[in-house]
Amino acid sequence: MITAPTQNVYLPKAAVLERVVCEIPEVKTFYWRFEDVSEQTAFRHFRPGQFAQVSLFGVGEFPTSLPPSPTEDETFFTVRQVGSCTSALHHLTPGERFAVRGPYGDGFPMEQYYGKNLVFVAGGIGLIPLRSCIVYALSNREKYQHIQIFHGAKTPKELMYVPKLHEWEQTPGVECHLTVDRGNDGWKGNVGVVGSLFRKQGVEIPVENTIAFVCGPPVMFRFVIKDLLAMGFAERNIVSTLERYMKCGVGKCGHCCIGVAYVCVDGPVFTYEQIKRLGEDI
Amino acid sequence: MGPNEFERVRVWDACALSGFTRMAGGFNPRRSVHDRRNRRFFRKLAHYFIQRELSMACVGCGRCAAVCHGDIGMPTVVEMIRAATNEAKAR
Repeated sequence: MITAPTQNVYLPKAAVLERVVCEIPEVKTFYWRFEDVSEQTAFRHFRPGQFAQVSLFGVGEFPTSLPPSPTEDETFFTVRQVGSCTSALHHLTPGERFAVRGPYGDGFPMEQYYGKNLVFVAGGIGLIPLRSCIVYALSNREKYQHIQIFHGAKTPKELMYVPKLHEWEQTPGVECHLTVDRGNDGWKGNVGVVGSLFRKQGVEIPVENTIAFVCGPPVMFRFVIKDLLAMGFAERNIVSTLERYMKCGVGKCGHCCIGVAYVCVDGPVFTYEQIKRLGEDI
Repeated sequence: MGPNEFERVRVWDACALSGFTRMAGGFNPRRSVHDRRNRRFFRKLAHYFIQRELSMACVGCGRCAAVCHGDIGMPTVVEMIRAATNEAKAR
């Protein structure tokens, strides 16, 4: 008989789906917990920006970012339905089982940012990984200076985490600016790309001692970076998370290589300075 | 296996195949053949990977050369690069 190795890094741990919340069309949030309580306790020591691998029995495995902050009690994923694995997750009903392994990667170094201003720029579902940082920063509010959140979506219906956005809008000491590409009758906010918010009346972004978190589709990323650099941001003060199809999550398989870096172990969080040095297009 | 039992299987994949880096949304960072070919040789032989891993990723087994119909195994490619470098130096 072949005995199992003592520690198998690829071994997923069984988890139970507890409830599902629809965020926007095709994007749902899945609240879950590990069947084993000790696994749950161990897992909750993740850092904002890390990711996990989700296994769907009989289908496969996919990497996904972790939107909860370690300061929150619940564990959940927010996933868009695109491929076979994410579709299988979308078809699960509460009570059904799947499996999770992680957390993997290097998160945002939130401790290094103590005493700094934070600017979050999220386009569409780019808010998923940044949600973790925002919630973390807000629960350690006294450790950070000014906090600004800029979130853009295609339509008002596609704004992510609406209850949270309302909460952030009401929070004193936090600026939350929203924009949509196309408004509808009920929409009284800004219409335009995320970058248009930077030039809006009454918006002042401090450049000194500020970290800008940028996450969103490539087009948005490119233009926001341009705007931030024009404002005078240093390249090392712009951070983002990159996405690749991570298979192993532990720096072995080479699926997620960009230039010399493995996104799964060196990232997924990179500063813009590092991104430019990777030696390959992102 | 029963209805509620699952087996975890490993399926081999190769970085020279186009599906290797393709993501569910359809975006493929290494879409074309030359991107994947460059990737393969850089990954196995380039100095920055050797610096990173403190060893070469190619173990020199020669199987790639033995099975390749197009003769683009590791030794041939290294020889091509060496010849091109010498030629450039001589010029």
